[in-house]
Amino acid sequence: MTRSRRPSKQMLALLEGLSERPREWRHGYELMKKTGLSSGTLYPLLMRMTEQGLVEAEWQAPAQPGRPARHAYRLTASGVALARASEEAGRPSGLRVSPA
Amino acid sequence: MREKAARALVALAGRSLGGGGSGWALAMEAELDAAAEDGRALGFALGCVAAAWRELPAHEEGRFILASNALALVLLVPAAALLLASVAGDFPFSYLGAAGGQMPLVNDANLPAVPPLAALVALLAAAHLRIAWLVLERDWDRVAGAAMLAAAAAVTSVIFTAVAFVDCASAIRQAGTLCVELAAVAALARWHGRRAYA
Repeated sequence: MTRSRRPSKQMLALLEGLSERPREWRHGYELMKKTGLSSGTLYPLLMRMTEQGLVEAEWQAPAQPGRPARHAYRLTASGVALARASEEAGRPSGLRVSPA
Repeated sequence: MREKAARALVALAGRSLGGGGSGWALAMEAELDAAAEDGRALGFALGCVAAAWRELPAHEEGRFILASNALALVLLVPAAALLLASVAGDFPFSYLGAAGGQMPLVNDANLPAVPPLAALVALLAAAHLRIAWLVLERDWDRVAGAAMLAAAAAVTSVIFTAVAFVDCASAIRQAGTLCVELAAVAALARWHGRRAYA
């Protein structure tokens, strides 16, 4: 039996931060600043969401020599779908936009 | 200084994440430079430690780390503290009298046996502390050596108190406690051996 749980406030913030430009890769620290989440909240969320297939991660070459490669994140198709569904669910019914 | 502390904390977070979380550990380490440029390295690093510790129960190596810390800090170190407290207090009354509620018989004949018994109990306490440290270090060969020393001190104190004070109940209770502790250490060592964590 599967159980659907409403995403937490922090997860919604991360989904919102990542779904602004869903195809763009974002670094961890940038996401912290964007969402206002601390590293202690952001990384467990990223770990969970990666395990659940909502977020994908890749290593990116450093922008400056001598710096380490950085981990970057973006939403998968399932992540984008969840972000949209959460956005719809959170929107007041009077303002819901119906497709043309 | 703050950046060095932050790097040490991120390294601690990485160690707590274990082998399975090494990718995440590297990801956190790589972001530290960006946080340092904003002057927020320490806050970022503390968050990483909190994140890593929150993840401990979620993976087996984390559960092993929690179990070994619990064994060392909840069982072995308090046992050592109690033994040392009994030596520092009104020894041997605090040590021998605790078992049956009756005060031990200390007279001119067995008074000279008190300092060697205090040394034995102190040695047992020191062995507890050494075992606790080595369990955290996962140095099982040296744990075995320290366990032998603790067992020898416990058995000697049973014989010593039986002969000198005609009351070995407290020493037997200490030896029994040590057996339970060493059984827990052996179980932890077997767990470590099965999984062969780094």
